[in-house]
Amino acid sequence: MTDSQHQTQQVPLLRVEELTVRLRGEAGIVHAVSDVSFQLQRGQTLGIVGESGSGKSVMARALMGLLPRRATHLMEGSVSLAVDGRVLELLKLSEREFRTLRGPRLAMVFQDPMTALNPVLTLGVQIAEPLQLHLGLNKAQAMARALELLTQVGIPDPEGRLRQYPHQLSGGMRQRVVIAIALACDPQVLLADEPTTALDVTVQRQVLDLLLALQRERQMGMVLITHDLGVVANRADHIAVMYAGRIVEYAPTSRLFSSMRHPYTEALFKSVPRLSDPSHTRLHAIPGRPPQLIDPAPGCAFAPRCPNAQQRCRRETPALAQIGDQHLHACFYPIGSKEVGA
Amino acid sequence: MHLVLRKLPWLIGTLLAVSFFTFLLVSLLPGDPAVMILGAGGVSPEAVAALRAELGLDRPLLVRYFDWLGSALTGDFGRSPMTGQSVMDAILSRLPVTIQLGVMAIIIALLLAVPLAMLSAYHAGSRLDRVISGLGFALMSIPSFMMAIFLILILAVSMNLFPATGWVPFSVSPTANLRSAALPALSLAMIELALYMRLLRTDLISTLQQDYITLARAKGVPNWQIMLRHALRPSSFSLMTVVGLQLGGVISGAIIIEEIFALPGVGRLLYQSILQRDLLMVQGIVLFIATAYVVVNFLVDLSYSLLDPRVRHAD
Repeated sequence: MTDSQHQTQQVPLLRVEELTVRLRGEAGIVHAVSDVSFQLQRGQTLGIVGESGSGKSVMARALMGLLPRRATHLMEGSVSLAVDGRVLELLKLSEREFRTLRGPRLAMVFQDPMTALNPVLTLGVQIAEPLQLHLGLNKAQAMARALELLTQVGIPDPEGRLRQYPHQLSGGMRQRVVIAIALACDPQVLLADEPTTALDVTVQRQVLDLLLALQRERQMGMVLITHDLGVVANRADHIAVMYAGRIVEYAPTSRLFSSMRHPYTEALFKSVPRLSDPSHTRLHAIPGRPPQLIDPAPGCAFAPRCPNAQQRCRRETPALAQIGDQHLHACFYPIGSKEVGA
Repeated sequence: MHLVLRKLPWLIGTLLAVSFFTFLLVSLLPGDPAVMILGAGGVSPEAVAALRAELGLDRPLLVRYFDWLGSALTGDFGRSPMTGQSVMDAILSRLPVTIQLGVMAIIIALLLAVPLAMLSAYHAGSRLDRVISGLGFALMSIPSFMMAIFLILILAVSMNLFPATGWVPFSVSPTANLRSAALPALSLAMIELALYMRLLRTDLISTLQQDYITLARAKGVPNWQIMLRHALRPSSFSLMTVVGLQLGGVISGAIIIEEIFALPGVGRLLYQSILQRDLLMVQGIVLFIATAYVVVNFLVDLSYSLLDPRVRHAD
């Protein structure tokens, strides 16, 4: 306990406060991210879990400064990054200043390794590029470093791979290359956006374990974004559950699994298939579908699908409230509360 | 090399077909060449028959085809019965003008189109993009002869920067040569420019939405470097194809432009030969053009593998 208190007192590596992002969509303004706040310490992993369309990827892109300006209707709140003893407010940076952070400070692992690598450039060139750009290495030095990186991410025959093109590698190998690119300049914060969703199940575990090992070794802060609670279950220190652009529950991982409070968290948890279930067990699906984020209705976004929902849920949006040590949820009638009718 | 061997039979087949149809086309034109050469009025049938025998026109079509093909393979397209000039010599003497004109036009068009397309695609949807695209549409809808007259009026007549017509060979004076080629090349370039720009802009816009562009941005690569290094090459296939087709088409010469600017090129030779019914000349030029066209396109096909490693490694 004292250790965690100590950590919350020191300046966090990444602090996001009331981040709100609205995008211009074809059908209107999309409320992609609303009032999201969290902190990330050095060497820690935060799991962000939610269905597709819950705003996870938009949030990651916002943190990386990758949302196209043209498509951004509104970006509010604060994102501060601790850099060499100073605290930088990222949302206030110019594109030019932000660019110098991408690579050596912030890096990102993308979802689909089949499309994330440039088809016409060799892997060597693609890994060496940020090294030449940010660390001022010459081509030979950068290539030597690229070779080390390929070795570190566990690619066999790294020397030969340097001269190969993406299409000559399997999906799992490509994702390792994407990870090598992200790690090239030794970033402090790594955002992994569904890093294994596009991979074969057998490869998923290998890639996740690799990410975790590298994160521990380098003491990076990592944000691991996924739709699968199982992915973050024993890998993240904290978990934030997102729904319709908002964090609806936040807790240290063990606490979340032992005493989840938000009905959505529970629904997500139940929808993960388990190997221990007898075969042909009906998969628990969440009824209804995720809300559209254009002109969201007032009230809790989960109310239409929620077993605990009552009148109040459809009128007011519950705020994220602290209910215990580092455990927050946004629900009027959480699991275990007395007011919930049977 | 594997790729070359695989495509070679197709190349030879195409060339044979082209040569046969060229031969057929000219043979099927109405009118007897012998009568035309001798002049229509008051010629004895004996004289016509004699000339037909001399020209070999009395032999069956296929025999004549293979005879003609055999000589063509050795570079002998025969002699024009009108001027007595060797068809091959006539083409070769005019080829440099035509090639210079066409290549200059394509280079000018590319030099303008690539940066404009990149600018347009980068700012897609903006006012700048709309202005550039609008300009492209305008250029595209102006026929080349109008453009030529327009350019002559402004750059030659009013501003006196370039000669209005005529041709100075490179061997006589390189600067005068470039000046005499400038206006015709520019007239051709203006139309190609618009086409190139539209093609490249469209492909660039779709490339810029690819994940690997976002990844490049996530690496902190500056925008101009993303455009040049990451986006341009994967976006240039349509452009390459069209430039290739036009490069093949260059050999045929720009008939109208060469005529307007009085340039001694292949296009003008073809035009005049058709007017004079110089069938052997027309036949030779058409075969030459077709061959050049097919060969250039073959080379363009091969060059895809330089642009895209996936083509290189495909089996």
